[in-house]
Amino acid sequence: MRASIRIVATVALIGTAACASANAAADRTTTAGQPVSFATDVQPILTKQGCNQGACHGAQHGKGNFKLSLRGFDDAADYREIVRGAFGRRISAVDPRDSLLLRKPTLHMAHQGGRRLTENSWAYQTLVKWLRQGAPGPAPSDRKLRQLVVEPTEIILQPGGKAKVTAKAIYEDGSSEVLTEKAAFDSQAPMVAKVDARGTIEAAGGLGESAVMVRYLSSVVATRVIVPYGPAPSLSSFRPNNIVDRLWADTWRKVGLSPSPVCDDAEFFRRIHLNTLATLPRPEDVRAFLADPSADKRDKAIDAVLRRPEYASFWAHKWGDLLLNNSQTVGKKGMWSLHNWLRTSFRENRPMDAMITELITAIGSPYQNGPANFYKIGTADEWTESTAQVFLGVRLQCARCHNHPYESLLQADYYAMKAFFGRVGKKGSQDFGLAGGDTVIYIRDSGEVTHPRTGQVMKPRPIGGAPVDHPIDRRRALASWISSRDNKSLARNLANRYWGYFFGRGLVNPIDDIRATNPASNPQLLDALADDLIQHNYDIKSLIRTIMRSKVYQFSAVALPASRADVENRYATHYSPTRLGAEALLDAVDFACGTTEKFKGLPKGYRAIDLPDSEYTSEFLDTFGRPRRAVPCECERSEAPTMTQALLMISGGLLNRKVSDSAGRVARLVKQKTPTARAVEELFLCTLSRLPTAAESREAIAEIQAAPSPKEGFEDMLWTLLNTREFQFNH
Amino acid sequence: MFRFMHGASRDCDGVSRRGFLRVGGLGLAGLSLADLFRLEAHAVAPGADTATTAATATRVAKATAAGAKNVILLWMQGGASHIDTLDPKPEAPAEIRGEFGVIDTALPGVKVCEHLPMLAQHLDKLTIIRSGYSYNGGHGIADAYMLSGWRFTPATVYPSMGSVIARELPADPGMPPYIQLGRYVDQKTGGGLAGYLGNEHNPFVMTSDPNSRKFSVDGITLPGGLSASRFDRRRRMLDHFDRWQERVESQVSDSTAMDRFYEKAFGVVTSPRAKRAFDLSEEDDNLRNQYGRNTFGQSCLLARRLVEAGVRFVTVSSPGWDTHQQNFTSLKSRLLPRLDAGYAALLADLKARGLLEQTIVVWMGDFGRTPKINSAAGRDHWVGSMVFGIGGGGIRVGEVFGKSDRYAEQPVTPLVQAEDITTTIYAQLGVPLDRYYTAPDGRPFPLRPAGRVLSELIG
Repeated sequence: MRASIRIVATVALIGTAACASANAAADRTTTAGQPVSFATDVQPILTKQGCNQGACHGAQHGKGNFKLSLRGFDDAADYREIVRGAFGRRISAVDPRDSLLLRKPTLHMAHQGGRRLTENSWAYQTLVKWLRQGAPGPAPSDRKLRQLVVEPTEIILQPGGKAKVTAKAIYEDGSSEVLTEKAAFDSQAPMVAKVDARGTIEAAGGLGESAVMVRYLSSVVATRVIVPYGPAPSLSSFRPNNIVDRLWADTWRKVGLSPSPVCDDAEFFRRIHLNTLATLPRPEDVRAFLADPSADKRDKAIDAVLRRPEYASFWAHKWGDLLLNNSQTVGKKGMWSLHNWLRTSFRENRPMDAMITELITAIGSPYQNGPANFYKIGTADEWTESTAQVFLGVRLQCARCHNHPYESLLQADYYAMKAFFGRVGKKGSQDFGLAGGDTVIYIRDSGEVTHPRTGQVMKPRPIGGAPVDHPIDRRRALASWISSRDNKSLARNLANRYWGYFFGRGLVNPIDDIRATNPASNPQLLDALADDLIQHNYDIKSLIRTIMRSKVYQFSAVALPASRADVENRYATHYSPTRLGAEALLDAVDFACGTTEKFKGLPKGYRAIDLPDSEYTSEFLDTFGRPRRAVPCECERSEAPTMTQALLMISGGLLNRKVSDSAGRVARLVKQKTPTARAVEELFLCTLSRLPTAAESREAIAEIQAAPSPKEGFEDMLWTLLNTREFQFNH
Repeated sequence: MFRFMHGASRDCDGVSRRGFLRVGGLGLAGLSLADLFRLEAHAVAPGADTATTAATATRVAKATAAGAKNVILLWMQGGASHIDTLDPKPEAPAEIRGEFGVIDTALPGVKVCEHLPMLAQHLDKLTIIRSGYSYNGGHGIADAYMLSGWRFTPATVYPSMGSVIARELPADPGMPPYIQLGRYVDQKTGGGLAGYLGNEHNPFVMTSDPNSRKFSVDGITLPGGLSASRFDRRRRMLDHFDRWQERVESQVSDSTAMDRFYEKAFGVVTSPRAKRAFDLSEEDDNLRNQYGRNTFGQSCLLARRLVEAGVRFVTVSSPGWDTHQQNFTSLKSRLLPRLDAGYAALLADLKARGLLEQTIVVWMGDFGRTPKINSAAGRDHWVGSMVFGIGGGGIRVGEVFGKSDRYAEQPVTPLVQAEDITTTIYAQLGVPLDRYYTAPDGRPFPLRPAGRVLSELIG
């Protein structure tokens, strides 16, 4: 039943006539003869008044000995608690108005939660009527919600303006109802837009965007409300390169923001290297690129970068993080097997849907078959959660124990998803006659997953889809659902993830938290990128190329003064500088210093982005926040700067040894008696990936000449450049 | 004997200093070092809004009222045997009692292992908790659990005590607020780290050996070959060439944060204060000897200096307590004598300087060890029973709290667990126990672990 609830959202303007008829529909439920339903009238009232929220009676142990299920997910229990609990004292059949249920929230009796109801409200009247009718309980004949519809789904408000959202329930029996009184309306950014209890929205003074959430029963939908930053820009001089630019231009007109100019060639060249390869460009490549007069040199450079071998290293590392590849959990052999599979797949640019299908349906020996390690880590709970978060961008963890508190994700959704993995078995390989301590992942022919609260056996059903099954291996049904061409979930997740990797912020942000109440900053673009990815058979390089070829990606990192009001750069009017990740930074330091880091147990020449897992000791990488690979969340990588990092960079032994390494770059510059001006150029090129300005060059030469020796001068210059933010950021 | 503690010695610098202390109430070294730091410390960063200032002031007031300011944690990595240290069972059969005998202590009727003679004389400066219990028997998880007070879950790394304290209490801007001496905390599952509070609150881990003749601290003292004048030059050059920020200005919050941390780091490296705090050569040789001329002993001494310099939480990490084999040999030859000297000297020194009243000293490890000796003359992991040493900072001293059964297999009085220790320490330091944090993934977590304040030990 849950499966068939689809949330339909359309953009529409509701005229006055529509509103009037909507109110009439709502009023029908209050007419005297109409029976009041516990499930579809009383529960929404308790939710809307906040009675069953987590801080009140919805808390784990309730409040004041009165416990309701969190936001009313359990009708039977709540009905019992209200009608029979406290020896039936909560309701009065003789005089409904004398019920504790009504006297408390109207403050006729002390109520710690304060006033929640007034006597003349629709909610109060409806509760009285329900009590008069004999307080009927939930029944199998209760209408079941099929769709919660909110109209419009996007509202643009001028400062001081007002608008109205209308929520409508469509039930499985074909009936429908306008929910002015029964739906709960909340604004996520009340300083931008306020919403009242009946869905009237008002600009609140702040500029930007707020999602207004509409909740009814267990469904939630959202409307984007935009209060523009200024008048629509003309954008006459903006020449779109591709669909990305066109769809952003539409958005800037809507939100009243103007984009920054395009960055210079050196910035562009450094940026594409760091985003795609986590590797600095070589000085000779920078010089050649800067000198190239051709008009399409940026597109050519993008293609060249995508052909570089570091591509496979970096993305294998990235996906190794997400898949939690770690010798602690899968053993050294398993770890290498998954790592090598990832590297090969990225080197060959295999379609991502095929890779994910292989992971989901993996069987056999994790030592031989890399993807099988997915099942060596954890149990069915972890596989369910990783599949949801990594492949679909949905954080399902909350629903393991309870319905998601403010999302349409039910505990039943979790266990229906888990049912796909209920028959995966693991055995020691000796049971199959294989020595060597390997494991075998296999499929049993029985095994069911039950709902922990109801005990119901769950049919396998993917999040947001209808039940699907496969006679031999349920996971194959899941994999074909995920990779089906008319299902955009995977493509949207990948498009959003990769957008986030290249812009430092997802269209849906955080990048692995796609849900109805976290709308994308540019939903049309997210759809367009997803469609494009499907059309190109999940060719990730094609997605990257589309992103990097756009003007939007090539903007300067400096925001126009008028665009700074969009503090988070939600609307991509400029490039958001991001710090180099731990591995990229260590590799960049080595590259600049002309040194190599030696990781214990690996041959010399392995760079940090080549590492197959995070078990290779490195104080530097730990300090700069590499993830432990314990949870499949992007948030595991810590990007926050710390004082210890600063200490390592300015006075740490490691960095200072690299700067003055006897076989390093400075030593070579000294030995070759490189002219100071030329050496300064090289030092700038290998750190900031650009030539020094005339003034910088003059000043740097003066500093170096003032030093006790050229060696000390070059070292100090290199140390200085490594400690600039221009070096430590991708911008 | 450990003369310093009895006030019996009158023949060295240390004594005259302590003599002064008895008269004046504050040791000379304490005065010069700690006061210098305190005078320089400004608790509130410029630019903090008034609400923050007020909140900080309240917290300072609370902390002061509570009495405790600092914590020194003596962490026995691997899990020290409770029977062979502070919860001996001399009446038990030999396969449980072990090879060691017991000795009398400063507390009438209380006995401890015979290889802790100095500590025995200072039991009036700590409370032994003999009803300890640890729910988990694996190492990495033990470090995460014992140091945070939160039971392990693979989905979340909870912040350790030091990180919470670093975040919640005002700290001296010239010093890292949370320092770990030695690398002997298992960080695999987040032990001793800041977890969801973010890297910013991780400990500064000092890995060099304070007992070494060439002791220097990577990151805090300048690396070899770099003179102060050259470092100044580099800093000047950096100020000059780091112009990129001017263009992006406050757009990038990471960049402004980085700026702040660079400022702090330069403060630490260039000011003489941190360098001085780490400079053990300022200490009297006799006192250094009393602490023990080994890594653990000198780390205990360093912990005292760091606390004086304004560090809020110092972990002294000590390896080697995972005595599956040759338990008695390793304890007798290395582990116990070093622990004995270091722990005893630390308590005595803190007491003599008037610092014990504001410093909680905690001694613990992963868990207890099996009462029954194994075939390799070792003891294995034991969850059922363990022992804590705690005291100072308003936590009562000179008591034995709780009791284990006759073979030290499990407590016979209500259990005391890591969450109780953590909650008690927070309460004593004035950490607001009702606070909630939001993890990076958006989930709310209460600061307070699911333990109780051990009010029996307070006041």
